[in-house]
Amino acid sequence: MFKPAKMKKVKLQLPLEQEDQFLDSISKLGILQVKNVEEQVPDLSIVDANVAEEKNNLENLIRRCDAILNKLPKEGIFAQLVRKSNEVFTPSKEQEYELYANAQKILSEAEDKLSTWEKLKKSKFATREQVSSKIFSLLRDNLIVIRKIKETNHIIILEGWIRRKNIAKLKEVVTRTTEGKCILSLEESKVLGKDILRIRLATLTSNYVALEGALSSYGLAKLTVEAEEEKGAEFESVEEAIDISSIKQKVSLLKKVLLNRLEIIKAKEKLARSKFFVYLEGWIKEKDISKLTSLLKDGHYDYRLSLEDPKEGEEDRVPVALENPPLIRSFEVVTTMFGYPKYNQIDPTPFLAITFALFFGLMFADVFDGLLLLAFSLLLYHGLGSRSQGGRKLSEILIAISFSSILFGFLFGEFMGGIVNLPVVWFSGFENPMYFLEVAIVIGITQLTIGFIIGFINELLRHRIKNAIGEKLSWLLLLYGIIVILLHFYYLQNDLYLYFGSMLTISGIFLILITKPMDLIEITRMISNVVSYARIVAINMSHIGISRAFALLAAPLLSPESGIIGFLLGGALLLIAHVFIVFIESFVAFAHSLRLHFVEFFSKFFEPAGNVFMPLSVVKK
Amino acid sequence: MDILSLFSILSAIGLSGVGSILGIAMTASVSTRLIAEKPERFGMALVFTVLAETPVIYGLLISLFIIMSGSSIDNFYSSLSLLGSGISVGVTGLFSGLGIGIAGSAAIGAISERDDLFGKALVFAVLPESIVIYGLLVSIIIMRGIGLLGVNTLYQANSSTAYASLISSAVVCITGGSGYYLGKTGAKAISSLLKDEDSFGKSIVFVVLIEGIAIYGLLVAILLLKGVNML
Repeated sequence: MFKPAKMKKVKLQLPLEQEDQFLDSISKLGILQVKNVEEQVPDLSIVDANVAEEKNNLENLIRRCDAILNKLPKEGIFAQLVRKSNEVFTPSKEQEYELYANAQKILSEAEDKLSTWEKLKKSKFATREQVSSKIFSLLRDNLIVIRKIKETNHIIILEGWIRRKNIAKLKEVVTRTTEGKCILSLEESKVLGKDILRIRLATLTSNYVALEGALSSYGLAKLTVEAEEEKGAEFESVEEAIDISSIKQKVSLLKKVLLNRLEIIKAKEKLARSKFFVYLEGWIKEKDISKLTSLLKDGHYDYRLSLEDPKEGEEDRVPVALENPPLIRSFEVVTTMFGYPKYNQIDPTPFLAITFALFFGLMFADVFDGLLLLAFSLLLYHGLGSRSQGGRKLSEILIAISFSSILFGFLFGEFMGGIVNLPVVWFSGFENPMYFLEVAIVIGITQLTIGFIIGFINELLRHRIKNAIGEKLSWLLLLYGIIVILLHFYYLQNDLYLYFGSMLTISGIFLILITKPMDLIEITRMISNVVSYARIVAINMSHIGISRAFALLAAPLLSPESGIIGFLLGGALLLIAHVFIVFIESFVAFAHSLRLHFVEFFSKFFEPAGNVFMPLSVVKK
Repeated sequence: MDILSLFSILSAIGLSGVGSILGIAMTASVSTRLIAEKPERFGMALVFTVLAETPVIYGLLISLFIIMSGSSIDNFYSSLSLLGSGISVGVTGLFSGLGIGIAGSAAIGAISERDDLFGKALVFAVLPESIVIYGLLVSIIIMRGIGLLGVNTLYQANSSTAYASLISSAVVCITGGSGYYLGKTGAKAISSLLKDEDSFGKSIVFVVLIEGIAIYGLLVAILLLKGVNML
């Protein structure tokens, strides 16, 4: 916590024949980031030409996989969020090899099926439902619906549909027109129901025109879709006909295998080789060193290993892995949206976890809305959260901030815009906006202070004393100097505060002038940063205002005079209104909490120039 | 209800409605093109389109408040203050709707290529909405100040309170013009996500510099209203 994980540089030598086995095993652990060899080792070369060719091949295959997967239908957004994870199938080594060996064949088959699927989709009558509904509508005004299946010089075969009650009429017309020279078969249509019969009619081609004319007088409609295009009509949908789900499964699995193989190839490119040995450099977290040594010992590798601390001046190149306890870990997603801190800088995630939840809770303070948001977050946790790490972290953040909303809802006495009167434990933001504004500004100044202090410490850790004083300490003095002077004029009215405030202000300005004089024009930005926290009040008041408006609208319906129906209508109105409020206002509160951190807080200390720690690892899902 | 209250309603719902119409029209036209090619993106496109509707909902809210309680206003200066309330949410709603429409269209364009950018694009699309929130806040403060949303024992209906309400409303409306430009810069930021997703955090910094102007306007408006005991 507070600093990224301690890293060690790894230097490892292995026999050439153990290279593949080692890379395969270490990728399953996911603890080692392989980097380009920097040390000058005699008799070693870096590039392996065979690897480059396999790499190109893998990348092409992966592109084909992506092209196929992108064309397949995706779930709707709500289903994506709440669907639980399916069991993850992990192929064995032999299955992986087989998939890789047959990759071209698998992809070619998938591409053929995909193109058939796309052709069927474009056809007007590709699905059973579309064909059925067309036939139903045509049979309303016609005796029969037909289409030609086959026509030669002598024989014509027709297929058609007719209502059961009209069979006798059809038989009479067909027998009369063809003089009995026809074959007619009837069967119940499995798709269209018992009332509609499917017919097959074979007769002489020379009889067709007369037959067509005779049937037209009773109502004849022709189905223009070709039989091949109606392939999918036997199935529930085109997707089932082409078995899209198995294509998706196979190609996704193949892609996983290819990506894993590509990761290993990319790692191989960075290794150096001699005739008998392979030489590897990388980074590992200090806490994972025991796993590496166990792997090398248990795998009976003939190895030579050396572990070093990062050298002086090398800190900018050390990869960064954030390390936080479970409750705070989810908020790393928010920090890393902005960027990664450098290796020797403070990790702001622990501070952000508290203040993000705090700001959101203040802006979205309502017990009922917090409960609705909590319900959605739990749904998301079990759905998307079970399928992806990012989804899990997002749902954990939402759970945390919904608890914060509930807490501040109780503190401010807010429940559904006043439908239920809760006691005000702290103060009502809506009734006391000026007090709320003071609280918001105090919270903002506290956060800015923490930002300046972190910035000050970061500069000291990097031995940049001038920056620590000129960019951080000076502005902190200036900020508090101005605050103390304002407190003197508005609240305290004691000359001691005026003198003290003036001293702080002058000291701050002096330090800025002697270190970075041009930065003095940024004083307006500091005022803007402080005032920016007023948005907490604005968003809270708009949230409560909207809730109260809907409560006012629903109040007549909820009164005893309106009866049970009025009560139910009022309840439904309020529920719909609050679902809308949670949907819209939570986005707003989230975005503005994010903005306060990225702009006001991070700008005081955060240089998002860290390199992400990316260990060699298998693709899990 | 007098003519000033009626004009207040007209401003609140009319101007914010125009903003939402323009915003929805922009996002909906891009959405229909997107879902013709990629129907599975319907849900995401709908989110951005619905966002553009929020200004008119706030305008509707204020209008309903005025309709339901406006008849209790029987003083010319209070009516004049009420006019400021309607104008505040109306004009800021207009700029906000435009801004959401521009940023939302860019966001829909971005998700047509990469649906994993949905979350980050949403952040930029939501930022112009803060302008109408500031307008709504000033509206609510004015209405509360004249006693429509609770009791204000310090309030006195006179020319000072009326002019202060109008001027604070005008301040928020003029600085609220930043809503349009928030949308434009937000759209550019969303486009840059396609080139480099890691530019997200830094792009926000540039986009919100514009919003700082609206914050200053809000602060002045609040202090003005505080000065005449409306708050």
